[in-house]
Amino acid sequence: MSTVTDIERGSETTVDRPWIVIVWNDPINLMVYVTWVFQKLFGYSLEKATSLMLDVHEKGRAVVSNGTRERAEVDVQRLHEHGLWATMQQEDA
Amino acid sequence: MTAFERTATGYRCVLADQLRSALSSVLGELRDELEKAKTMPHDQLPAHLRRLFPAGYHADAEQNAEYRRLTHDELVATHQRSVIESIELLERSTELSADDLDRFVRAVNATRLVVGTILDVSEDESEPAADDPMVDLWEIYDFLGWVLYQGLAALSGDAPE
Repeated sequence: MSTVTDIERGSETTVDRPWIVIVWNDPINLMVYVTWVFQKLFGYSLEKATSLMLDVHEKGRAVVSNGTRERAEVDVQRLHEHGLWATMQQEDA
Repeated sequence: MTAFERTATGYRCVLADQLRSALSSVLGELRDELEKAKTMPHDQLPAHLRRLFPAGYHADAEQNAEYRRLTHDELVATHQRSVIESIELLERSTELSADDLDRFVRAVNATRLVVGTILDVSEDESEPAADDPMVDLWEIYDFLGWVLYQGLAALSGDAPE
């Protein structure tokens, strides 16, 4: 953690920004399959899973989960096990 | 025409024997390719197989290399397991549990991803011409899509009893 003194000195501080998991659009995975994977892995309702799937399809990407880096790594690996094109990155400040 | 029916204890595959055999053969080709992927560095994998091992970090080559070092073997093993168990199931029985069908769906999807990558499928895909040299592969791709859709319908509770 940074202290007031650190900040006053202008030293670099570490902020724990959450990590986000992004699923990217691809032309091969069936829309119904992507929806099923979101429901299965994240326990999302059909409505939420469908909404995320449509974001992937129409906007090219959707953030499907967020949290610690370790959690994001697990989620990305599980999405890869299901053939989805997923990456993780730290959320913008 | 349907591929799966619900039963009291799970599901039944009602594909004709010829189609089951064809599906088993296509899955067998992915099984053999995955065996090679076990010992092959990611950058030496053929492009169609790399589709099963995407980058884990967005725009960060160093982190990706580390992600692949940590996950590649496990990811290969997971894909192999679902493909091998699905082949065994197709050859052994028509009865499937929910877990069997889940694995089966993942195996068919992985195979379809590889075939679709070979075909260079894009969003605005049109029907292949009759003289397309890959017309047979397009038929396999369509067949895998149909089987996948049927499997998902069954898992979602839409299969006939």
